Amino acid sequence: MSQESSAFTGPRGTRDDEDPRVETPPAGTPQTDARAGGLTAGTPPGGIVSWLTTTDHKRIGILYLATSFVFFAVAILFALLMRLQLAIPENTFLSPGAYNQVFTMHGTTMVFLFAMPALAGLVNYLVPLMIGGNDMSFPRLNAFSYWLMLAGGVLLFSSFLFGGAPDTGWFSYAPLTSRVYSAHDGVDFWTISLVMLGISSMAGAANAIVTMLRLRAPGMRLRDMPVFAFANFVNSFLILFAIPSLTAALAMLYLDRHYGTTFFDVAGGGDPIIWQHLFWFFGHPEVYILILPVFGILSEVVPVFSRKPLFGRGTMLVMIGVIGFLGFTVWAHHMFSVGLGPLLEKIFAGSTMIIAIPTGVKIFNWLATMWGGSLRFRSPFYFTSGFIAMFVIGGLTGVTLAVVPFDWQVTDSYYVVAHFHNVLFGGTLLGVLGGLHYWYPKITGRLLNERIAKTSFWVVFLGFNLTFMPLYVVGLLGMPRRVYTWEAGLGWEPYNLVSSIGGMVIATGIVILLYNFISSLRRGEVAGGDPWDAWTLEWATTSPPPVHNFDTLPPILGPRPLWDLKNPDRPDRPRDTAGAPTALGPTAPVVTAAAGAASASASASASASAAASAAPDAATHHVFTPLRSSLPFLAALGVAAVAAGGLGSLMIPALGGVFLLGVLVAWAWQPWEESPHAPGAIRPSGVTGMLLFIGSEAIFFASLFYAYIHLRLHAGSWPPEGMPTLEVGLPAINTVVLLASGLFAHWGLAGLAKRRRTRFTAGFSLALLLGFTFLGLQAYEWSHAGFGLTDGLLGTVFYTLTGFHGLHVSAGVVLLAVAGIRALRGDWRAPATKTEVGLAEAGTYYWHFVDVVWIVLFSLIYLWASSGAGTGGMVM
Amino acid sequence: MDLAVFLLVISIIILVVVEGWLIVALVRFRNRPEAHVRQEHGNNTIEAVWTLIPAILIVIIFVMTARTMDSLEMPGGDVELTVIGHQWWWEVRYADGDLVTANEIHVPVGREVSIDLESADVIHSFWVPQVGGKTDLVPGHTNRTGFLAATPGVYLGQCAEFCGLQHAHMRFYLVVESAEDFSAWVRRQQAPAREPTDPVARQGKEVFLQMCGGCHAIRGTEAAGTLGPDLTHVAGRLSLGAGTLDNTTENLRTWLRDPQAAKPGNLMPTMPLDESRLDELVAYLKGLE
Repeated sequence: MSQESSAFTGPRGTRDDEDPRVETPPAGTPQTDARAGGLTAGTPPGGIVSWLTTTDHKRIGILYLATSFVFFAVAILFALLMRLQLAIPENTFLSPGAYNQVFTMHGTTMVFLFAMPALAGLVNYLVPLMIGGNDMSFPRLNAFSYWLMLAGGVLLFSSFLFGGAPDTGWFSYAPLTSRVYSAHDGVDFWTISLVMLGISSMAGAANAIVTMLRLRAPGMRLRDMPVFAFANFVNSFLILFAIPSLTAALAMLYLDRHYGTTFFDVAGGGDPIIWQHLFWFFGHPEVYILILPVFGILSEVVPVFSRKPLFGRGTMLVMIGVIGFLGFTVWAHHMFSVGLGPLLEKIFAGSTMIIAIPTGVKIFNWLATMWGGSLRFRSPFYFTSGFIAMFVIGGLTGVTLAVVPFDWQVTDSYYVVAHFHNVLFGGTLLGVLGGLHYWYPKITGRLLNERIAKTSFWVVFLGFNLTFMPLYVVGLLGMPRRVYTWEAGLGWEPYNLVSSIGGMVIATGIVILLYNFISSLRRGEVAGGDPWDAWTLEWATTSPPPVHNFDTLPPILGPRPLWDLKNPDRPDRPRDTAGAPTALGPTAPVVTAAAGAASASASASASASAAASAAPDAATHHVFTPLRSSLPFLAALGVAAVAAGGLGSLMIPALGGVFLLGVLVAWAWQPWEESPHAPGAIRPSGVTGMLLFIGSEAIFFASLFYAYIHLRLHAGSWPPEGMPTLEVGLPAINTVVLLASGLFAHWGLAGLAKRRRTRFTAGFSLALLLGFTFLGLQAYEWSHAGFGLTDGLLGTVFYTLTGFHGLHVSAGVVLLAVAGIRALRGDWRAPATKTEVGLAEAGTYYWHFVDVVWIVLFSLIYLWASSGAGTGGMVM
Repeated sequence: MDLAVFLLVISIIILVVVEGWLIVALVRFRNRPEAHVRQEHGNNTIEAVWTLIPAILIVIIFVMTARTMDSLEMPGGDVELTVIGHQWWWEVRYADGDLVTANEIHVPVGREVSIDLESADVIHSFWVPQVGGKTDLVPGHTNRTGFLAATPGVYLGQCAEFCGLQHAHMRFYLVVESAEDFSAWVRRQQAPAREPTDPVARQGKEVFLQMCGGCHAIRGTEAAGTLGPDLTHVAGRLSLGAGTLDNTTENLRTWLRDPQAAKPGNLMPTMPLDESRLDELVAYLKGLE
């Protein structure tokens, strides 16, 4: 096996665009499969094509970061325009229409196109390095996530060219977003691009989770991962389970605007409050999505610059989980003025206040980490100290917002604006900037200019306080949010003026900071692999790391492998692994990632000859082969073209649809797992990814079901006046059809694992046949229902629910068919590998999920087809 | 208020303690020799203590919040009215009698006021900062708010939920006055519009019926539009355009000449009025005390 591992020992310190691993594949490692269908391994060509086709997590991370900072600059520009307009009373610098576009785009851009991608960039770049891996689990999906984000961002900003940007706020409350009150296309641009950005984030999150589950270096337990990685592990679940609620709301909004449904339209029996519940069920976890990774950054930077381990590491990890969970229980504190009733208001006040406890503990533990340390005042530490100072204020004012009577007074005033900027600017932004100052040398190989970095910190910090502290006061004085102008004589003048001056100071600081980032690329001192004398794995390789990340990995026996390596006389934990003490010596043999993976993989496939016959698996296990693929970029392009179809034109989406179909067909025949997965893993990474995807899909359907139940209880009696009661007969037959299909798929899948070709063929064919039958019967029912999508509430909920379910059945049919054909083309004489079975397994799980959704749908829509008046008491 | 003072005090104490802790740490441990640093991984007792302290504070704050909420009785209905939000003005209807006005609420001092809140279009929020917190006006729902105003005066109110282009100019005035003044105001408002006597104003009435009556109502005339504010006693109001302009003769003229100048995007179109018709219309409307 040493033969394979030699492929890893390229010269240290080479940059990834000068890839040293000229791809002489190790002998006996067939590469043909990987090269089929347009994937090529090899020396990347320089220039733009190499970036368009990269699947290297580090390059994708850099793309994310660079893109996010372009959007950041634009969003700051929007903020400056707002502050210019509000500097003096009755200003006419911006028209109301322009102002509303600017504040909507400021919020939307900062959340979805700066903070989320910047964090995704850090996750992409750092997590594989921190866990001693070669790449993300799904490199092509990773590239696709990035390109989809970019496409969504470009689509959103193109609205300026087509009749104006969205102007209904980043929260876009119904019914202001309906066609009656927002006739122009801005809302549609917003809706469609947010769906794209959401899918991008969810794909990235699933990828991150699987990566951390599967690709950790030998010896690293989940809890041993650097806190930044662990925080993002938790955070990725938040992304997966929060965003589908927004996606569902956006789908309803789009249907209301374009297909005449009435989810939010009171005249048609709808209720705009549904939007608020779904939006904030996403929106509040989103706040934690933007801060949990930053807690992770603090937990990396503070210990290193205090020269001490993180105080109470275990507690810190638990509290991240607790905050993540509680984040889903507090959404309605955004709705205290809506009229929820005292009981619900108290419940949400309580759950909101509870979050202060774990958050407070985190701050105390960082302070305790610093206490007794040897504080090194380098630039990253300035930003993290600034974070602590500012985040405390944001946290305290956050608790005051949970105090319901106080919230009634200050909600939707500038007090709230000041509060969440304390959290998102004083918190997220300062933390992200601290992280960037910390990891900049790793990413670029150069140190930032410390003097300029510290100057930029002080200017930004001072500017922040000048801008936002006066806004607390002016909010308490009664100034409402989202007004394009304000009246003189109410005592608001000095506060607004100071705030606007502060805005200019912030912008100046950001310019200095960006200048430093750019000029240090060339002029910065060469950093070396470990400039901060740090303890986590990303510092155990060159700066920047080679394509394959590590030539060798140190032994990993705890959370600070480099501390243990550098301090063999006083390691973090007593060694409990056999033979480990000697392994700590600098001259001791080091475990190489390749050898570790190779030997484990070899034992998994029993013998070397078996490895040769199970070629695709063995090849990907032995040698990390970063693949280049144009498909992710092309697929995102196709999605963007189809998405443009939602905006009115027809030619582009039609062509785009055909194009996208072509890309997807090409993609469907590629190796479906291309990265090494952990030896001995229970299931292939792709199956784990599918289970995560199913989890997020469940939230999507739960959101639709919630809307249905809310509307139904709101309506009083069901079905609505003059509408038929749904027949149970045909859907009951369809239930049997779909469940039988699921059973056949399962039966066939077992046949695949046991190498019984006939059984597999029969099982999957029958499953598909019954799937088509289901769709046919569903179509028959639609055509004979006697009412249409636009026929009031019943039409709205019936067609939306069965329609989305039908779409998922169709997707499942395609997935099963692809998996089936691919399995049949495999080698049926050799024993089945997990990867080979995996695709069919993933398809079958998805098929079962579609069954489960149907059973819920059948019960709620058909079995509970009618109910009398008087059930409406529970509506929130 | 007890709760607010308590919150302020507790917040300041926590702020001082935590920021002080941070500053002391930054000063005291700056650049110490690394050899002095003990590699301390944590301390369960200390962590338990600083988990419990905030937990206790939170329980206290929660109990105080709940008790304050329970003590906030919804006022009874000495005066009952309905406020309906429109893009971008407030329709005000009193329960007793034929009293409809806009962008102005009069209440007697020291009496309990109960307001039903509805919306004709999008979500708005009712807020008079000096009197009480916000309550939303949600289409399809009727919310209720109420207050007891103890001090006479004129208070500025405004929409607090973003409602579109002119959210900023959706203001109103709350006038708290003595019982006598309030009764007199009610009597004035209940009366039908005053017939113009002056010939210019009479001409103005004709202009109004011809050009304005489709959207605005003036009780006692044929004008019965419901899209815009009821103007039966417009001359007696404090502002024009829902708090956009003070209600002076000059401002009325400016407004009528081009409503889009002072409040761009509002739903009142600019009417083709030459100067003489403007004079007539202003004369008529200024007479509607």
